[in-house]
Amino acid sequence: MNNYWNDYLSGVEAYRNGKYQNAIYFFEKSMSVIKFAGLSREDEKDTIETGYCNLGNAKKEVSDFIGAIESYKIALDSNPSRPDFEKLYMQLSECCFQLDNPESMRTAIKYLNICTNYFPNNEVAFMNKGIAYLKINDRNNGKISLESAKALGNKDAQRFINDFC
Amino acid sequence: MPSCAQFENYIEIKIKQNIMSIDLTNPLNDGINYLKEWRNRYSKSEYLSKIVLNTFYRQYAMDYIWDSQIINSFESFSNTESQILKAYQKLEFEYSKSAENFILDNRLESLIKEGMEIGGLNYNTSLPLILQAEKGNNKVVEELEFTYLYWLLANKSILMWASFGRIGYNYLESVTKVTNAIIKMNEPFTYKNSLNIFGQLIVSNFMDTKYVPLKPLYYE
Repeated sequence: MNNYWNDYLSGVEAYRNGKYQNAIYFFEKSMSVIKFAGLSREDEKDTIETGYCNLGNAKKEVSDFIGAIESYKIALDSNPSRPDFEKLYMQLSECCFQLDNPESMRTAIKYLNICTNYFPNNEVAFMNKGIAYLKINDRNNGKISLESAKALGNKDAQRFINDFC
Repeated sequence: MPSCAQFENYIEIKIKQNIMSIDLTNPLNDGINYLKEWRNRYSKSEYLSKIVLNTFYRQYAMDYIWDSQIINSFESFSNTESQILKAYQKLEFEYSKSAENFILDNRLESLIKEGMEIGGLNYNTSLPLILQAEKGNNKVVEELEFTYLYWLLANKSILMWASFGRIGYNYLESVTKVTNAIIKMNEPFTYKNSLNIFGQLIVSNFMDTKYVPLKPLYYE
């Protein structure tokens, strides 16, 4: 058994105290040795998912949006339907909007599609997906997503449809 | 960085002579030469910051490889080498690779200024010393220089300790190989407690006998 857990806890402590660079350092270090920790497959998977989720959050705090997206992707790819990851899709899409380029919009769309597949009542996911489609000039899919958001009760969706679709 | 060739020489000699504890003379000399070089290259205040920065640089680079390379020397990498010098070279190489991660984008400065403890050291406790030293306090300058050398040697001792793991010795046997002391441990080896162990068992005594302070940085 190595010290992965101490590093993980140091990462959590650093994050809670707003020491995001050290949070990144400790989470990265913890994840780099998780394979040697002697955990059961299930525990290892769970630790990787939460570890990369935390790492993504810390990177987002220091505006390392590319790094945050990569971390979120690892967590989400490992367990796309995990209930507490519903908001992680939103955080990933926020990072993609911060980067605001065609590639990041396509990444946002890919993961928001997965999100709405598993969490079909998430109006914000449909709204964000609609906006991401519009950003790459795909008005048809943009409109479909915005209409779904509207159907779920989003009050801004109709304005976007009127203005951009 | 001291070259591996320098370490090869004295490790080999000591092993041939069957003297069990390692000799830290070469790493100490290398450390002193670095200090002299920085004194020539930088202004006085830059020099003082440089000492502290480099102390933490080594702490982070070593801490990062603690599990993957150091502890694993007694587990996954145990008995994977037949020669202590080869093992040592590999560990130095891994340390150097780790150190590169902290050079870019002022990452090290960002890390240390957040004031997290790393291997028992905290930048927040060094900061007042830098401020005092900058006012011309030679005693504090020497304290900073001594601290740099002390942690350098403690970290070198850890690399040597792990090298013995790679040629098949267990944790405690390797401590004996490095320090000539037999110890018992009731807790796992962490980076922090290992620095303390090697600091107390070998570095302190060595510094007591071999360390000579540099000439004062500030003249009257």
